[in-house]
Amino acid sequence: MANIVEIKNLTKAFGGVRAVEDVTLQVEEGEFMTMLGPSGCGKTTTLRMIGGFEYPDRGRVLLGGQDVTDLPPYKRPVNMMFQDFALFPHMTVAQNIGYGLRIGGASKRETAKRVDEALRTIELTHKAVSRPSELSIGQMQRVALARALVRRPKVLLLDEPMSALDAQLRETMQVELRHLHEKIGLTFIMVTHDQTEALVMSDRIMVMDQGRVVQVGTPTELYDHPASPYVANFLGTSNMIVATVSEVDTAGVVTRYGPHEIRATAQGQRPEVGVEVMLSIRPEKLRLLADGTAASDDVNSLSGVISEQFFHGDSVRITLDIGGDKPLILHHQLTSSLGQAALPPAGQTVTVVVDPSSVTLFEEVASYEAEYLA
Amino acid sequence: MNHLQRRQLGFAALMSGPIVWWGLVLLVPYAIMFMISFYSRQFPFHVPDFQFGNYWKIIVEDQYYMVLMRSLKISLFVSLAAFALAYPLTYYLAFKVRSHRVRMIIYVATIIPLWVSYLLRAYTWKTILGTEGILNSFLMWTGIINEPISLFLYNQFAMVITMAYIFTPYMVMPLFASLEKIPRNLIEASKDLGIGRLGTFWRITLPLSVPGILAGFTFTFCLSFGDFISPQLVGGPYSNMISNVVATQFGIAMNWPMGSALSMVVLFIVVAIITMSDRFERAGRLDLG
Repeated sequence: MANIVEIKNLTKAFGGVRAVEDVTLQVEEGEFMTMLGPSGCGKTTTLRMIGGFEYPDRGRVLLGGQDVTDLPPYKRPVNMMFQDFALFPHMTVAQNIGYGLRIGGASKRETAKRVDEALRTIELTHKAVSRPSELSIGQMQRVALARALVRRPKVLLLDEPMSALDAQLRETMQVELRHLHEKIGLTFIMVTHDQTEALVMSDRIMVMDQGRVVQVGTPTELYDHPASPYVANFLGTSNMIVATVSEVDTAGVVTRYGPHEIRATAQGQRPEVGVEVMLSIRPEKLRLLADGTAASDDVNSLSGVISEQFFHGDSVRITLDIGGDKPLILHHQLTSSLGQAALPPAGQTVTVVVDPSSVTLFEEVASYEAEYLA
Repeated sequence: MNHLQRRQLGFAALMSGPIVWWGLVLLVPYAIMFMISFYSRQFPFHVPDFQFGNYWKIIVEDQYYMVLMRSLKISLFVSLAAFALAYPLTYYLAFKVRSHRVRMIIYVATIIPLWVSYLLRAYTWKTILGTEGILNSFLMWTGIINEPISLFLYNQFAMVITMAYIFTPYMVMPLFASLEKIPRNLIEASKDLGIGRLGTFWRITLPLSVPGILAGFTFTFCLSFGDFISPQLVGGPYSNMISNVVATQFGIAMNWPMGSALSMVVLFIVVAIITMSDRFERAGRLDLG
């Protein structure tokens, strides 16, 4: 498919501070692309440069093959849904939706027809003559969405669209927006700092940090094969441990962590024996063995003492001290109703197993102590 | 004395000052003036009466009616001039100046003349516009004129200029407040929806600054309407405003009933304007957060 949006080497600084540095990205037509990162990582600035609200210091923005870098926002075939919705307070819901059409030169009849359609789609026909201040947050969001879509843009930009919603509404809207995307097949580019939101909604995710692109890929690629400790940590939670390489073979790398050997399937890395590497193990990939099989000889069978456990309803979060620098955290999914008695209590020695393919190895050793504990 | 009584007593004690002040200095004088406005003039002073002759004279006698109309006209021109000066300035301050410090410096520089004596500021224009003034000197220096011209001073034009200068800060303050309050993302949203700069200004910025415009007009109009100094200093013979006539009635003419009636009309017009502007403002009140 063709690239509807192409940004090349975008760079932007504010008062000497680099906000966006050399960002390059292609977005395919119909794709749901998410720019993910913590606040201040440059994701919003990148989105605003696509929308035309910021002018890049360097780099180009192409929409449908046409260079629009020098065009003002009102000449670009994109529309944005703003973070606080930016509904015009002095206009009714219908006037808000029709604004870009009517003032933009569409006939009165055409505008009325399309506004009517849009109102029916978002099920707010009864609120047509209300002011935005009379709407609930969820309704405001739908109006903002309708207003952005009614001009039939080539790309819809969404700036933290869920940030104003409460947790429950957010989940509903994530699904609704995803459905809408599938239905109309429009290209969506969203900015968010919420990793769950990014994973749930996107076809592809671009992870950013300090103005730079860290990794671009599908949600599963990013989750299972993060390119750096930063991505591993930012998407979901992960046990990040520093281990020493003890053996490298064709199947992968064997490392030593405390009294244990942990094997990782290689992703092309060939670290030298004796160097320190970083391992990332997702808490849910650690499998708790049943009591009887404690002395397993399986690969990556790690025994340790339970130091703490928290009941989460559907799962138990267990902190397991396996004799390394840091304890491991594992999520034990409860597939059937176990009584509290059935869970191994704190102080008990248990064994967990993890598949070598679920152990991600980074040659870059970074300290993620703070995020790890958070 | 229980707790509630003690609280009520405390409240009464606290409020007694303002109430006495308000009654003595404002309410009682208004009432007296209202009463006197129906009195009859009788040499050498006036006698209690109840008749509408004073009010009737304001309508039928040119010396009052013309002055009233002139006052309204001058105030309108002053307000329009102040608006024409203040809107571009405040727009520039609120939207174009990026540095907060620069914005505050320009803003404070604009309103700081309010701390300078009003009389002095009005007098300044006498020295600028007069025959010996800066404007004439400048024009003579450039060779545009050969001898000083007296066209600038002692007319209504000079009054409008002087008052516009003096009252523009009162237009700047509410305008700046309302323009600064407009969320920037509304302007971005308008542009995002395909509307250019001018369209965005007409459809978004201007309507959302109406409360500031109303407040600015109310301030400048009412202040110039009651102005007394500018007509005296730079206005010349045919520039009397309503306040000058009121002053004359209470002073030289010794016609208190007439002066009171005129004052009542001024009061009524000002109250009407404030009420109207308040109504408009309420009707269009918007939550800009």
